[in-house]
Amino acid sequence: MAEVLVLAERAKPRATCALLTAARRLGTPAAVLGGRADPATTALLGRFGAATIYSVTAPEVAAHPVAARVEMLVELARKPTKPTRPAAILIASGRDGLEIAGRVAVRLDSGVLSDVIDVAAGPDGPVATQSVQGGSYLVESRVVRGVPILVVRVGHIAVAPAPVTPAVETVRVPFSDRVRAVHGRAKPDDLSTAAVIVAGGRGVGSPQGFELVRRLAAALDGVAAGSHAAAEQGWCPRAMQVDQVGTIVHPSLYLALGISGSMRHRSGMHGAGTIVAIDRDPDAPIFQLSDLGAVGDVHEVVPELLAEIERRRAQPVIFTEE
Amino acid sequence: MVVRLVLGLAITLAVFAVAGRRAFQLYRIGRAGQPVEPGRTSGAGRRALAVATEVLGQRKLLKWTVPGVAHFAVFWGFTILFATIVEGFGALFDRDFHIPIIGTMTWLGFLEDLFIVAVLCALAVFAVIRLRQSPEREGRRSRFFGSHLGPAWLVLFMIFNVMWTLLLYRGAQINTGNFPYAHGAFASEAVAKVLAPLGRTANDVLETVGLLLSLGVVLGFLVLVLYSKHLHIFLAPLNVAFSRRPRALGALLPVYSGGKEVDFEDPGEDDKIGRGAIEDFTWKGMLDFATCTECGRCQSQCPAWNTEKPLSPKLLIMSLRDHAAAKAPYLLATSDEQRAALHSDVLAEAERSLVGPVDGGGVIDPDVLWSCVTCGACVEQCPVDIEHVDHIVDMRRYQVLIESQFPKEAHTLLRNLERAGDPWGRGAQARLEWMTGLPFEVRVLDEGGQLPDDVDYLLWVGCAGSLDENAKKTTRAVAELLNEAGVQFMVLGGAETCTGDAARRLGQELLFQELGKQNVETLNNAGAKRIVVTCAHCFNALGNEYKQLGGDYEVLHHTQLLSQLIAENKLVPVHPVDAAVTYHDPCYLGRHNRVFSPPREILAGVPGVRLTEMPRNRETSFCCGAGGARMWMEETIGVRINETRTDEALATGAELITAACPYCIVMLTDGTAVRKQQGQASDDVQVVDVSRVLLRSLRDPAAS
Repeated sequence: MAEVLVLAERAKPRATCALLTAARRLGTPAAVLGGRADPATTALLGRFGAATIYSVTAPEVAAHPVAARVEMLVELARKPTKPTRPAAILIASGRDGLEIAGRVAVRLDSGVLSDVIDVAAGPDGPVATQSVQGGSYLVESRVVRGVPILVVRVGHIAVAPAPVTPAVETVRVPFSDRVRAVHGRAKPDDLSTAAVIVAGGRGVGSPQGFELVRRLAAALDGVAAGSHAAAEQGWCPRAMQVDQVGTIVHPSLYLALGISGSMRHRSGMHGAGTIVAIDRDPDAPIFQLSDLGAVGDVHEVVPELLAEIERRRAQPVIFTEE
Repeated sequence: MVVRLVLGLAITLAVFAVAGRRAFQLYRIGRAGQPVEPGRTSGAGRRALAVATEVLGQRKLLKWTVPGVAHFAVFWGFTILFATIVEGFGALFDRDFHIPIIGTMTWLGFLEDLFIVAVLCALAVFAVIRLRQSPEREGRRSRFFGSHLGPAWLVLFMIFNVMWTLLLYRGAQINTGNFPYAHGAFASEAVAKVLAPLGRTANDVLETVGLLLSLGVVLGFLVLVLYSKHLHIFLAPLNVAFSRRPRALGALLPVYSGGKEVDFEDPGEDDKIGRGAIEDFTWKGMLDFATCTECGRCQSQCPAWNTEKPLSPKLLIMSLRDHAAAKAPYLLATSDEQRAALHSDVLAEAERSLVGPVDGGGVIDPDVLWSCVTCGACVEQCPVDIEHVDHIVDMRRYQVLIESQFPKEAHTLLRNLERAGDPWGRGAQARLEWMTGLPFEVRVLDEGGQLPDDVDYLLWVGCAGSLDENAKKTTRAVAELLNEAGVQFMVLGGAETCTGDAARRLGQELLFQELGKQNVETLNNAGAKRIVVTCAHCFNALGNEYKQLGGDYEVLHHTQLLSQLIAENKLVPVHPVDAAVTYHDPCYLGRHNRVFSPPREILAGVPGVRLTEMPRNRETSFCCGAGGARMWMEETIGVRINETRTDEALATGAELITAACPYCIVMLTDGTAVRKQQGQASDDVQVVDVSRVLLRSLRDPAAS
């Protein structure tokens, strides 16, 4: 069967496994990995069906992540070690994924499909189901030119294992001096566009307590914020204040730590996707708004949460009972 | 004799020429503004009464006892002693002159001397006040901070001169035998005794010298008056006569341009919205600025000034006055050539924007303009009835509607009001949430329906009352109490939209009118006649301002209705609420609408309540900080108004801080939460509406 290139990311295990699951429907998955294929990663990729792991270990992979991955995929697609060109290239959707896909598409003169939520093998090539217009329509599409590049919304793929023993190949990719990332000045995290926000309120209790907020935000790759109580007490700068007169936010995930959930705060975050609240007061209005709530002291619950996140990062748990 | 006549008349003519020219200039500056609103000159009876009580009776000045009594003496002194000016001028022509009929009566002589002495005592009092309140020492705490101190001392000095020259003249006149009063003029007689040993000739000379000095000082003072803040002696009666009656509080006026109300659905091309330049103010506005006496009573009461913000109502009015005076030549020039020929200072003044950062040449800094909470403490205190709040809102109107320059946090407020009809953007459906869990069914009027005949009151819940957690508790308490008392009421539910008070105070008059007209239509279609509200701002809007939009209703605040029900024994507070309590007068209930007693009557009716008043209560209540749309803006300058008021409440030793407005309750709750966090308040302190205290007293605590 033809090979399907899957752009694997060590930091995003579930996404990678989802891509591998999808790739299995189109051909033999081959993971393209930036960095060394250590035993844990090899085992994980193998568990979900990666017959081959192409490992690229040049320093550009870490220093210029997007440009390097573009080069890796282009190189492997153009000079494949197998006789036929890849059946498809699967990339996880996201800001970086879309950029990589677009650039690879130009370099390979190939069609690219984004917002793919399902793939199936078709007689003339992979058929992708795209979710368009904010989910209003589903469109079935097929690439007719070059190597189909599919940018997959991995949340829609149910992962399923299909263990194989992967063959690891270390590949040398020549990186020209065009492969460079431009690093801008360090910008403060933009609260208004953040996807994950961890906000602390009066219940956090002190500037030291607010460190928990920052740590949790860092652990979840999110942005720290504060209610107006926290900003007024000086635990966080006004720029981090989320409420009616501060920043209005629309994250996918919002954690409210020690925030009672007054109207003025709600006005700032009621558009969040999933709201998780931790507060000592079971009658706090925030619990009427939250999808998941824990009644408890922030200083007891959050350290537990941080420990659990650490555990899962070390040993990625991929739930396949979906 | 000829000498005194010639000199006297010469000085008089010279001064009248200068004074007359200056008076005419001032008149022209006043007329450079817009025509006034209709109603500004009507109601002569009420206006005459106001002049009688406030000018002749010095009513507002007497709010501060010591300076008030002193000023009473000086005012009446000036008035009564006008008789001595008549006598003086008469004496230029006829040495023996006396006022016809009454001019030799003992009581008149006595009265004149009494007031000479009273004025001298008052001057001493004023001097002591100014020394004790010296801004150099007291800084911002002094009400004279920012006032022109030099000219003020000069005025006191000139009044002193008027008095002693008068005594000199009268004393000498007694000794030369020309004094009109045989008895009664005790002070002049005392001076005469002192002067007598100098001999007849000396006294003759002193009589003429004294007379000329006396008249000269008075005339010189006249010129000084026309060029200083002492102009208030002529302008104050006029300003009081033309000010809004009963007071410039409560409702704001609609937007007028050129004396006509602006129709926002079809505005004229040249309509002036609000005040964008000094000449946009009406002549009443110009009169306000010119009347300011720089007394600083407004400044001393202003919540913004008292919390380290740059806004002082006095300095605001003075800035506008000085700008108007400096720009006057430009405004009065009639052609481009004239304007070009003006002094560069005047042209520079004409370039200054009315509202803009002060370091960029703006007259009123935006921080000053937006710090105002429209509490009206300044208007309440002003002895000459200046209408500070109206001017601030008019300037805001221009900034919001024309320049679109206003604090950016307010964008969210306006957007939510436009889209959802409430400040938080939750929408009409959410307005029904407060009713869940009540032990009875709340009657909700059907969409487009009419209120049935058996309904006594329409309960207007308001945005906070239906959407804010704390305020919902108040609404529920009021609903329970009304139900208990057997009062039939209905609510509009989702058909309510925000009264628009915050939008109007911000300056967004257009949005206020849209919301208001929508509400008026709903209320009129429903046949609403009597409305009870739980929010002081709704109370003001529905009761006072909706008349401007075609809605005339009898509006009661819930404390008024509850107090009435207690008096009628329909609600009987039984169980004691054993607590130390204090009551915070909401500005829009108290100062703006004079409802002070009903909440106190409710508290007094609850057994066990120990009420301690805060130092600043009733008319002098200190704002919670939420008015003027400031609830929806961030307070970044100085210390927080709500925390300042919370400290005042906590200092009474109260465990229960009560109020009667959801804004006040939110602000004081926030303040107490901060103080609790800082360990400066006990965890037991609660902030509740007065109705909830009453409800507690009706419910058996053992049962709950």
